[in-house]
Amino acid sequence: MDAHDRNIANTLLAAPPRVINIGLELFATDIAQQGAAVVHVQWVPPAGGNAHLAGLLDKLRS
Amino acid sequence: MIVLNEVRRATYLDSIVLMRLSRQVAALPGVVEAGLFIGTPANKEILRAAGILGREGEGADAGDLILALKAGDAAAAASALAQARRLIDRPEMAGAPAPPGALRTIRAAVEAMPDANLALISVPGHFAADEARKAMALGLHVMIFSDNVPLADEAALKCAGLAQNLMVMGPDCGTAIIAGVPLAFANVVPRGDIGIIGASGTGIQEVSCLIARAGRGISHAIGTGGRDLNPEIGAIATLMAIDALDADASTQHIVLISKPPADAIVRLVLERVGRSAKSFTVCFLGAADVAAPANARIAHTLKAAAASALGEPPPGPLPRAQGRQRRGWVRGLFGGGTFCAEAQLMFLDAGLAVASNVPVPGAVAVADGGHLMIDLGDDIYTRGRPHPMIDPAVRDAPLAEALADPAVAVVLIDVVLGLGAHPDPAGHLAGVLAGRKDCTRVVASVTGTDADPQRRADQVRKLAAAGVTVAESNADAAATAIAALAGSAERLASRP
Amino acid sequence: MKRIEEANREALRRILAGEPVGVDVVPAAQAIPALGERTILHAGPPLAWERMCGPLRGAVTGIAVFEGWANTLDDAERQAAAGAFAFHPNHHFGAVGPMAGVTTASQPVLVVENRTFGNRAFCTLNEGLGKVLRYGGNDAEVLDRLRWIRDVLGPALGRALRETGGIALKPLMARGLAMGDEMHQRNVACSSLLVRQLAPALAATARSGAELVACLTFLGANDMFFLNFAMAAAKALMDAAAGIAGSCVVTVMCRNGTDFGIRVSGTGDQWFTAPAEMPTGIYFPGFGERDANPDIGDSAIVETMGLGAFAMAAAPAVVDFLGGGRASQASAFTRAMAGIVVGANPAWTIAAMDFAGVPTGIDIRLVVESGVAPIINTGIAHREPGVGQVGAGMVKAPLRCFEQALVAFAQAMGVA
Repeated sequence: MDAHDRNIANTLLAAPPRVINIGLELFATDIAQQGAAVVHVQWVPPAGGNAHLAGLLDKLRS
Repeated sequence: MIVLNEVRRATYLDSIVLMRLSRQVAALPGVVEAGLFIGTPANKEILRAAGILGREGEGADAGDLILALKAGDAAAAASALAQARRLIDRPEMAGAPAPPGALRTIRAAVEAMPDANLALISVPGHFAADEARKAMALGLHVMIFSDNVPLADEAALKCAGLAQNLMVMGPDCGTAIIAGVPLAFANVVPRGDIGIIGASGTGIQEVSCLIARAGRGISHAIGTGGRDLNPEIGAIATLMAIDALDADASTQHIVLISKPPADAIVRLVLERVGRSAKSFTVCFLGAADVAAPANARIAHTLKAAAASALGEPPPGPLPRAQGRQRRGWVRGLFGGGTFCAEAQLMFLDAGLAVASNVPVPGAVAVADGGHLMIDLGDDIYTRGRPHPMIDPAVRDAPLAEALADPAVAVVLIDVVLGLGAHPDPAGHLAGVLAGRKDCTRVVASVTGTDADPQRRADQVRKLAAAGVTVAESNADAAATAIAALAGSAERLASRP
Repeated sequence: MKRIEEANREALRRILAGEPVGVDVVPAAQAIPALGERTILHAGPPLAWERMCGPLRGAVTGIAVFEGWANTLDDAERQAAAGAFAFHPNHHFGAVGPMAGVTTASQPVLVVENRTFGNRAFCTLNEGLGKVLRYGGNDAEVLDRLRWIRDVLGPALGRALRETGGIALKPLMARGLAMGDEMHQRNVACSSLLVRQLAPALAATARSGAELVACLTFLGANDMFFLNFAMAAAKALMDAAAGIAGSCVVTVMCRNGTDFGIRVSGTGDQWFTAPAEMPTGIYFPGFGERDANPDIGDSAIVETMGLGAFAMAAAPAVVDFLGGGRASQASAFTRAMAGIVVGANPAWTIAAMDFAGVPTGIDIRLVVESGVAPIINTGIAHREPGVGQVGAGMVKAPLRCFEQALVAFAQAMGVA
């Protein structure tokens, strides 16, 4: 197997995932109840949903 | 009829919360129709189609919340709107303004959990690709539960994932199990050495639960999203998942589940399967026999796929229906699209014509009379309404209609348990069927395990007590219905 | 963009490297030569008399009488309406002022020098609590107090500060933070520390025992006295980080009771304004929301620097006082602000957060993306002139200021 193959097996499958949940809060609640590590992002549309500003942010992001 | 709209600027609440609120408002006196939606173009179309999008709502943008309702008169409309406002403004509606310490961005979340390795994204489809891009820029694998993500975005994300060795599960990936942790709509199954790669969430759920009930376990179940095997995507996630499970020490056998891909994709995937050192079960639901490599077995149903993975002999062929129909029509009411497809395929295999709102090749579109398999999770049913797996009440009216139809001999139902699903679908069904004497006409499969919050054994008991015939799997349920049509003298009896 | 990250890091470096020292108190015209006849500086971004709110008008008319430019408040009002006064923001002259913040030629101003970079900032002296000019009070009692500050307190403080060689304000504020101050709504610890440090010099340079008694009595009764020192220090620190090409760090936040204005390092002197918001908080008996004036004052410079509401975790008592919820949730505010800044200040740490530094350097991109606007702790003024303070609470900077700034900044960066 080459290095490419080993990567996902190591970085995602080797241990229980440590999850960042963005969106439905119920998923985060369930994952926590299963004993896995999760943080929930209280997501709101970027730039309040303003597509023009979101586009500028994309260009100005590092 | 009065249509009222109110727009809350820069307000966001998650879709499940909004669905609950919509139902509460729709149930108020005098209200005919109600919807609370974020003002994305797709949602505005839903409101427009429902006839409740007014000028105010038209002016909303993707960062705003639209309250829309139709009521019998102005007084009822105004009163319902006031009540809707009160529901939104309750402090426990933690949208915006969120509690001051809440994490608002992926970046902030990564700072709070620097060793995070997976982002589970379930924001409206309009925004999902951007969030996935941000997550991948921070080195995270992604599972995109959201649907309605443009195909071109899916292609770009998966290409980027290929280049960065990051797994992109989805879009429209409803189920995954990674290192024993069920994600989104998944079941609690034991850890074991069988891996699953699935383009279908409910497909993954059925196979993983059948394996669990046979006493074995799942290493990982990787969802690829429903379109991964489209030519435009080229099976990127599927191939990466095969690579990953090949390299994963805990996986000995791999089950591949999807609907039949185009020939070129079939060749691409099977060529890769053939190069693996591990054994495979390949289930392209409904595909005519494909030339399998030496290390792979072909299965035609989810039940057969589980049996193959377990090293069991394949299930026998179905009895073909004999003579003309003596017992009437079969009506399937499914929450899982894959179960609806599987049932259609089995009927066609048994030589029975079948119609559906999502017909498989060989089936026809919905018409009057005949065997009919309805996918209640299809867009046309779920616009503005909860998915039937979350809210079984969506199935109540079609179920009552089917039972009231003297031409319908058997009703097929899928009951799906697990995380994210309704806390007591069997109890709900039993309530709907209470008092009926013909419940044996209802054949249900129950997808789940005893470790699920709903406890499969309890759910089966409730259904049996209500008189429902319980089958071991969706394929078994379809086979039971077909057998009943063949004029078998046996009464349909409940099986544990 | 890498260029932006580097520029922001430089802005933060300059803010953190500043050493603000209180060196003198002088008549404002001596510190700001442009302050001639009938020139009135005010808090917040530029605006004309016609748009000025009640408390600001009250302060303007009061100061006009104080300076002898009008005989009565009515006369002052007529002159103002006729365009007799030249109005400018304090910020245009390196100054800041709390609430109405009017600064005129003969008022004493504190001089704070940023020893690292050599720049100076100015602020009038705090009059105390209750009916005061900065809240729009302008009766005889208010003006008499201003005269006493001009003739006795100001000169006494000036002599004392010169005598000490200057009071280093950064370490003083660090001690205050550890004692429950956030340097905006709570200044009692810093005010006490300041008086303690100045007392020997005040005594040594006093013109008379009676004057010394009067000064110490006044200082001892004014828990908010240090606010103006904190503001001038903040102005001195933030000015050093202004004008860095490519930096989107906020260098000024201020309000004039009508508009909220911000300035951003990489866009220089350009103002980005939006209507000031209404504070939410608790009111003194007999007053309520209907009496409140919109957000006003240059004191938001304290939050701009990472203190005030940004340091709420150090001052849990303030949360309760401002009606912001449970004191035990104070860290939540600081954590929320940590999400919209470029870094933290190691000189000002909060024990309750395991000595995390206060969140410093507001990044307009983070504000616009997250929709989380900076929070500010503030007093609430009565909307009518001549009444004074009616409560205290919290207010948010309007998102629109940051959105406008983002558009201008993007243009400056050559991004459409």
